[in-house]
Amino acid sequence: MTTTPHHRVPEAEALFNPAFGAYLLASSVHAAVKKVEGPLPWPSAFLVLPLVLPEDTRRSLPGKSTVTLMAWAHANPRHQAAFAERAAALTDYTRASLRTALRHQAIGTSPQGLTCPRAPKPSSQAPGEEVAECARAAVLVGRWLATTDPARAFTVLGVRP
Amino acid sequence: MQLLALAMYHRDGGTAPRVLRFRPGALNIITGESETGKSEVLDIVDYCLGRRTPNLPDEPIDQTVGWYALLVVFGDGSRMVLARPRPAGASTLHAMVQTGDSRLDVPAIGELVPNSNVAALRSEVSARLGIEDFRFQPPAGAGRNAFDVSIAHAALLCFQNQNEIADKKALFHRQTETGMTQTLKDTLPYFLGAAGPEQALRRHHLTEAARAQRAAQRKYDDALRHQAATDANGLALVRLAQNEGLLTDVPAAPNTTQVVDLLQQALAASPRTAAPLNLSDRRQGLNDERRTLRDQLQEYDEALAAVDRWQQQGRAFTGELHLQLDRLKTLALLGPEHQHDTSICPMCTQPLPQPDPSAQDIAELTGQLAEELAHAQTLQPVREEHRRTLRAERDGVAERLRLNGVQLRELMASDERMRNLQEQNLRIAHIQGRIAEALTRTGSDSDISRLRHNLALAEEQTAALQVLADEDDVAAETERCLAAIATDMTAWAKRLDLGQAADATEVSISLNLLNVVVRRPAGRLPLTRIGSAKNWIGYHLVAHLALHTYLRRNDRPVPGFLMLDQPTQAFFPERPRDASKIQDADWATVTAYFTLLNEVAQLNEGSLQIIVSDHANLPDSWFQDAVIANWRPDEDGNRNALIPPGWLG
Repeated sequence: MTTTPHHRVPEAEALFNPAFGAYLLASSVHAAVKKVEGPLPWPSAFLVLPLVLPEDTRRSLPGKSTVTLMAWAHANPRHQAAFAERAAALTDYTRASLRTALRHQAIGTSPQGLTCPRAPKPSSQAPGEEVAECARAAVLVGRWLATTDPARAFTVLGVRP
Repeated sequence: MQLLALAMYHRDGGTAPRVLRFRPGALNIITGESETGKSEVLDIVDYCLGRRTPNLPDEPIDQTVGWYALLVVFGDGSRMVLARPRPAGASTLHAMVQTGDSRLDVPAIGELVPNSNVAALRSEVSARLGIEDFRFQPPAGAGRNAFDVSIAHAALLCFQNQNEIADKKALFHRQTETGMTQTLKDTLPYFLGAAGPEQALRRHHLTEAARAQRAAQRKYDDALRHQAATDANGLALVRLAQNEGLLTDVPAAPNTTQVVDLLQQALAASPRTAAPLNLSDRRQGLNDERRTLRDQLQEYDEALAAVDRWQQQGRAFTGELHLQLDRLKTLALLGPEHQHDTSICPMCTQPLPQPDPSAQDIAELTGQLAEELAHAQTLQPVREEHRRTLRAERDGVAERLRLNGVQLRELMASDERMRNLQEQNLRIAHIQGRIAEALTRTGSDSDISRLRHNLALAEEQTAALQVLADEDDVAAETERCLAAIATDMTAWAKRLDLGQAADATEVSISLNLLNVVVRRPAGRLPLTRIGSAKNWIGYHLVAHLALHTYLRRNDRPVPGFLMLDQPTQAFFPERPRDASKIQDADWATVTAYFTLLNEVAQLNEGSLQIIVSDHANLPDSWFQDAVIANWRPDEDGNRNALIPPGWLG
């Protein structure tokens, strides 16, 4: 590019801003809470962003939640293998996103885990197609995590809780 | 692996499940009247172990049951629940797997959620059993597909339903189904311990090496054929060159070396040129102009391509900015910020090492980015204008080039002599081109010797691998295992006094026939040529008991249970309602068969579990100890069966 703008926004700061993470986590927790009518266990929240944000993993997620997390992991050994490292890299971002979500009351806490005080805006109202895609994936992952015990989910994905 | 319990869950989700418990390492007997579901126990176990085509009856089980679950225990004491929903449409592939230690029991109905599929279930059970990861590789040219050996193949050795146990033509579960005979012949050597992954790998390498050898042979043959063709071609080219005046002194029958020399001379010779001067100058002028125009055209094309690339990069850059901006805009979806202190964690109220970005920070960043994007987009129209100018100039040059081509063609058509000369030049150029091509192809002697060397190497490697594969000799090793099994079979067949067993030297399983064969001094006798259902069942019993005893002794990865459905069916006159009330049955033989079953279970010292469904209910105490279910009406005449009477309401 010949045109250098007078100031540059750091890319990572924009791409990994906690408002975005908070919106995805809220979408996921909301889907999970709706599925089982109970809070989502706290550790499960750390699996959402590593499944949703990397483009290759997100594209390989099934369209419907009738395919289970175990069946997906069985069919995608490559993503399963890369997961542990990605999860570790995104832990701090997940924490910051959770804090932001709490400050905006998009996510609430209870002794059993995370709740969702009000429904987040649906993916159809997302500002762009990429954000909408991430939100849809977050909803699917939320439904998965709702029906999978956290210890089992962590084991299947090769991460220690 | 042995069975601990079988559970069936009512579809209404509320009724308590029907649980049938098994005793590991011992004889288990399910006795009862006809039509109480004794035979279905076997089919349900088969289904829970991951069979894709369920063989479950329609009534009344399928009407009421929503889920089936099987609790199994492995040699190391770990347990596993294998559950599958009622097969209906695509859900046939769904399954649930739970693993755990000795505290794991039949799951509650609420825990039944499909979390796996049949393929994953099979691979988990296979891994627990210790079936090594390997693909069975069929021998070269066999026209069969390779497959992964799994619990599906091991399970074939663990079941005998009521038709199979009395079948004189087949020995194993599902053997009469299409393709199963070959599958059994392919996998039995592995389960006996006569063939393993190493043998399969060696055979796979041999197939690959044979393929490489065929490819090398083909390349070598092609090269030889090519060389022969070139020799004949070369002489023809020399004659053509002579006709066009490129060669003057050609011998009547030149040898290969001379031909090559002559061809090189012809290539070096330059054709005569004679053209009228004025036309030649004019043509030269037009040709020069044409070359210049072509250069210009190419420059424009390159400039246009650069502009296009530039524009694409611009779009990619703004696209990236859009993406960042979209992600920042999600702030608006979150609703208002309720707590503004971003330096403190809202959950634990501890100060954070670095404050989180506040809503204000994110909004500011969004503003900056939007400004940047607007700036980048103002450049687009300028670039578009530049591109239009370039395109117009390029079209002008293209038009001039077209005119130049028309003029050239006119000029060439105007002079007959000119055209002839042109044609001769073309002909000569064509011949020289063919000579040049032929010369690059000859002299490939070194290529041929290289290919011959490659072929020799490939042959050597195939031969070496063939020797290794021959050394494995799976067939001989399998025979040795079957001979060990035959020792028990012979003794037990004599003891049960089966037909033709009295003077037999050996009773064995034949891998070729997949059936029992009795060897006597008078000759071999397959089971198909021995009469009476009593004998067929007897030989099936001794074969499976001896096979499983062998598998247990050698610690092979086959589940340690054997399920037999109605081994005494031949001793009752009709399908009896209650066998215990029949007087004229052959009770001595029934007792002998069950005594053998009990003794073999004890002989294996807990490593073999035998589960029998039968009409018989003997009064002996060891028999009564082995009864795990007696499905006969109680004193009040209430029905007692696999499906609780209450479910049929």
